[in-house]
Order: sequence, then structure tokens, then C-alpha cells
Amino acid sequence: MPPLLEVTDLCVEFRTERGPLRAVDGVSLKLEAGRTLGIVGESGCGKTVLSRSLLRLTPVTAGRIVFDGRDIVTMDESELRDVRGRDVSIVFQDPMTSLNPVLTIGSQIAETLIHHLRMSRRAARARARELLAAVGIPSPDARLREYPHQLSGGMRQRVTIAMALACEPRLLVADEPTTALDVTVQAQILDLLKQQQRERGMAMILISHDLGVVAGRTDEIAVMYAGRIVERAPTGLLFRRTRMPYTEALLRAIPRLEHASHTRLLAIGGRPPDLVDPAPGCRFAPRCSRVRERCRIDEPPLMPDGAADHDFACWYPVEVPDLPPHSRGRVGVGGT
Amino acid sequence: MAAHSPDLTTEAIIVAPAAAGVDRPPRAWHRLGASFWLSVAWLALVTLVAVAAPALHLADPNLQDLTDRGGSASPQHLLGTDGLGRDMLSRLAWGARISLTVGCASTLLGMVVGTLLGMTAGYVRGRPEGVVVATMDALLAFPALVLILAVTTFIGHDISIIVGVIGFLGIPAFARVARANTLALAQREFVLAARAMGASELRIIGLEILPNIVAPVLTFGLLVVAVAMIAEGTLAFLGLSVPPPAASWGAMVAEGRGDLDIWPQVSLIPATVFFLTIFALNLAADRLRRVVEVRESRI
Repeated sequence: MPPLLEVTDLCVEFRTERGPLRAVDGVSLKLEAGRTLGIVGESGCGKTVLSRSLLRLTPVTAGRIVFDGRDIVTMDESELRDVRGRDVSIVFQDPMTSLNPVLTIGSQIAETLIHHLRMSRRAARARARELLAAVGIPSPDARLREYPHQLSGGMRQRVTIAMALACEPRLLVADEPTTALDVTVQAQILDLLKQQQRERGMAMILISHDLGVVAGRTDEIAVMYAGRIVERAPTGLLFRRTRMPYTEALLRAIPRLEHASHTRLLAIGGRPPDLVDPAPGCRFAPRCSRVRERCRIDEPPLMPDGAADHDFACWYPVEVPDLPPHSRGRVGVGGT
Repeated sequence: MAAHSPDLTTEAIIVAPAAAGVDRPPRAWHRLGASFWLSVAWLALVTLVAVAAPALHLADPNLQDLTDRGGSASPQHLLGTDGLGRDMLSRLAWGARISLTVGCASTLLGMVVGTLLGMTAGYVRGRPEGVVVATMDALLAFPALVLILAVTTFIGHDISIIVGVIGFLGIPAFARVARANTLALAQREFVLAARAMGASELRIIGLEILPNIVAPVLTFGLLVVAVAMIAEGTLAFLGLSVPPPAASWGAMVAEGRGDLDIWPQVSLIPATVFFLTIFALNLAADRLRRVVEVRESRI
């Protein structure tokens, strides 16, 4: 069966005064129906641009985005509008700004249903109520009549999730859905997304700057750096056999419970490269602790690890013990 | 994933603050203050008298009684008579009809056209925006009085023409307010979210942007009503508004100015009513704008 989503060599460029800025540079991805892909990277690595370009909310410069056999890049405006919100929907980062302040919650959810599914106002309202209940909003009837500013951040994000789920999309893109929220609410929202994804059999792309967020909730993880994917593997394998030094550095930067309190976090020194005029060689080279001569001259391509379902872009990857023979090939997913 | 488990978020959860923070603002009419409600009361009174003028059994506003010129208040003439012996109260009431009609109708015209133009310019950007902005700048630079003189001289003094000219001159102001608000709103994430949900550009303008600019445009419109009424008063003072003998506040002030030394009230009464009305409009608009702005900043 062909994958639900297949992105090939996607490039997104922005024009700047200094020249074209390549925010997404040759990204290829595959996602099968009902599965979850995590995309991880630090701020400015192109994850948000990538997620928006999937629905052409930012114009795509080159590449193909084949969703269910149709290329989103070559669709005309009206086909595109049918896919948006119906087959693929997005949950944005900040629920404070992604809801319209002057419309009630009910009318915002109903609008999509009326538009895409040609529901009557009444039916749409009833469905909006069900959706609010499904995303765990207490007394949904009262909430339908309220405005966004009357809800807390966590509640608002539940509302945006309800809106995104309204037309039963086959792919949900969650772009840092918890970054703007209180820590205590973050896990609830993530669990809600995971639960809805399982119940509805959707595929999901979960974008985060936090490896901890995607760790337990994805089947596969792609690590992005400076507009490119630098490592990709099933979630368990990525954590067990990290090969790319950047991923390793990201893992070290996560605070851990077993460490004594006030242990210094290992930050990654330096800054990401200039995307308008990147230096030759590996883009992580200036910050990499394992950098050698070759890294500054040749850019490593994303290559398979040979044995396992694991790609990484590094000339001198982190050494790991050989896989035991019985687990060669596809390594178990999830890993927990 | 045992030792490598970075899955901290789920473990760190202790409480579930599911209840939404519902903090309702204090009732809007408390925050508007007494001055606002006094202004509204005055405006309501003027509007009521203007609307009900034909039903109030007032004296004929154009009936002259040259034996009772500049008469003071009496049971027949509650506010006295003007220099031609016409009933002042009646003329004020009928004059209010003209002032308010011109003020409101021309504002409405400028508001609808200006808002549509400004919203389109602010949302579509590019070439259409350039054309709209340049046209509006040209319109603002054009001497308004010359335009009005030309129009009233060559086309006529009919009230619909007065409304048309003043409304036309109000378009750039509304276009600017609408464009400025649209520019800011178009950058907001909910517009992007609407697009991600498959909304067309027209739906975004109508359903996402428009409801957000209604409040600022309407409060601004209240100020423009005052400006339009002053414009009509000025035209009337110059004899360029509706032709006599029709009563208009500006015309009443003008008619009394020759007799200021003997019957000052003939000019001063309409001038005072005019002043109070404009003052009330400005005050109400200002208060309303502040409340709307506070509300905007909360969301």
C-alpha cells in the first residue's frame, strides 16, 4: 500500500533582502495511515515552515507532496481548499491567537462543518457540541456560546483540536501544540491528541522542539537541523542507537529526573547557520564536538544505516554496538 | 525505552487544572461612565424630536409672523421666534432632521465604501492596495470646499446631493481606519488557521476580518457623524446646504447673525443646540472607543 503522505525533496525558499533563504531544504518524508511521525529540532530549523508548506500555507519552491495519491504542490486553489481542514488539518502553536476573538466557540467550529460537509446550522451545532465533549471540555453547551477570551489556554487548545478534528481528517499536523501552554496542561493536551489519533485512526505529525514530548507518542522521529532532516528512525531505535551527534546533543540537553537537582544542563554551544548563505560542509559542523576536516568540506547526505531502518547524515556518526543478529531489519517501533 | 527515557512530561503531571478561567468583565455600561449616558440621553432626545417632528403638532416652521419678530418665549412659541417671526422650537426640530440625516447618511455612505476599499487594500496588498492608497491620498489633498462649491453650483442643493458630497469626502478616513486594522489582523494566526481549514479569501475577509473591524470602525463612525454635521452646518452657514426656507441649524445661526445686537437668542439658541449635540457625539465616541480598545487588548 502506498503511504498516506509522501514528501519528496521539498524546498521552501523565502526572498530576503540578502537573497533567497532556504528554510526547508530537500526534505523527504513518508507517513503511513494511522501512524505518528515526530519532527524535532530547535527554533528556526524549519519545522513550522515544513508543517505549513504541507498545506501550501507557505508557497512551496520545489518538490512533491503526495497525499493519498494526489500531489498537493500542483493542485489548484479550489482542490487545495477541499483538502485543507477536511483531509489534512493543523493545530497551531498558540491557541491565544489561533481563535477568532470576536466569534463564539460554537460558530467557529460549526463554520467548518457547514463549509466542508454542507451540514445545516443545527446539525453543525450539535456536532460541535459532541466534538467539545470528545476533547474533554466540561459543560460543552455553555462553552459553545462563549468567546475565546473566556477560556483558559488549555481549554482553547482543546477547542482548536476540536476544530481540527471536525471533518475527521486523515492527517493531523500538530505544530508545537503545547509550547504556549502551562507545563501541567501540556501532557493533557498531548495525551488528548494521542487518544483522538488512536480512536479516529488518523495519521499525525507531531512537531516539537522537545524530544521528551515526542518520545512516548510517536512511531517514528525525524530530527531537523537548518532546514534538513539529519536523522530519522523509529522512535525506540532513535533513542537506543542515536547516530547523529546533533541528536545526541539534543538528548543531553534534556533535564533528567535521576540527576541531582541543579545539575548543569548541557547546552549546545553556538548558533544555527545562516540559511541565506550556508557554509559548505555539514551544517552542524561549527557546533559539533566530533567535527573533522571532511565535515567542513563535504556535506553528508542522509544515508541509511545499512542494517536497520535508520537514516542519518553524518560522516563520523556516534559509535554504537552492532545490532544483535536477531533484531536486524525492522526494529520494533515505540520501544517502550 | 528504559535508561533513555526522556519522557518526563507525563511523569511530571500532578494536578489537572481543567476548569477554565472564566473572568467576566464588569458590565459594560458601568465602565462607560455617567458622561457617556448623559450624552446618549441628549442625542436620544434630539433624535426623538427630529423623528417625531411631524407628529408633535409644532407650529409651521416656515410660517412668518412679522408682527412677532425676535419674540421671547411664550406659550405659543416655547423658545420664542426668529427674525422673521417663525417658531424657533419648530425650526430647531425640523433643522435637526436635516442635520441628523446628513450626518448619519453621509457617514454611512463613507463607512460602507471606505471600509470595503480599506479592507480590500489591507488584505489583498500589492497593486490594488497601491491604487487605493494613492486615490485616498489624492482625495485627502483635494480642497474639499472647492469640490462642494463645484457640486452645489453645477448639480444642485438637494439633500441627497449634500449627503453624497459629504459622504464621498469621508471615504478616505474610513478606508484608512479599515486598512490599518486589516493589516494588523491579516497577520494574526486565526486568519492562517481559517485558511488551513479551507476558507477562501472572500470568506476570510467576510467572516474573520470584518467582524473584528466592526467595533473600531463604528466608534470612529460616531466621530465622523459629528464632523459631517459640522460640515453641513458650515455649508448651511454659507448658504450652500439645502435651500431656504428649509430650516437647518447652520442656516438658523446664519439667519440670526445680522440681529445679534438686538435678538442674540435667535443665533445663540441653535448654536447652543448644535454645540451640545456635537459635544455629546464626541464625548460618547471617545468613551466608547476607550472601552472598545480595552476590550481589544484583553483578547
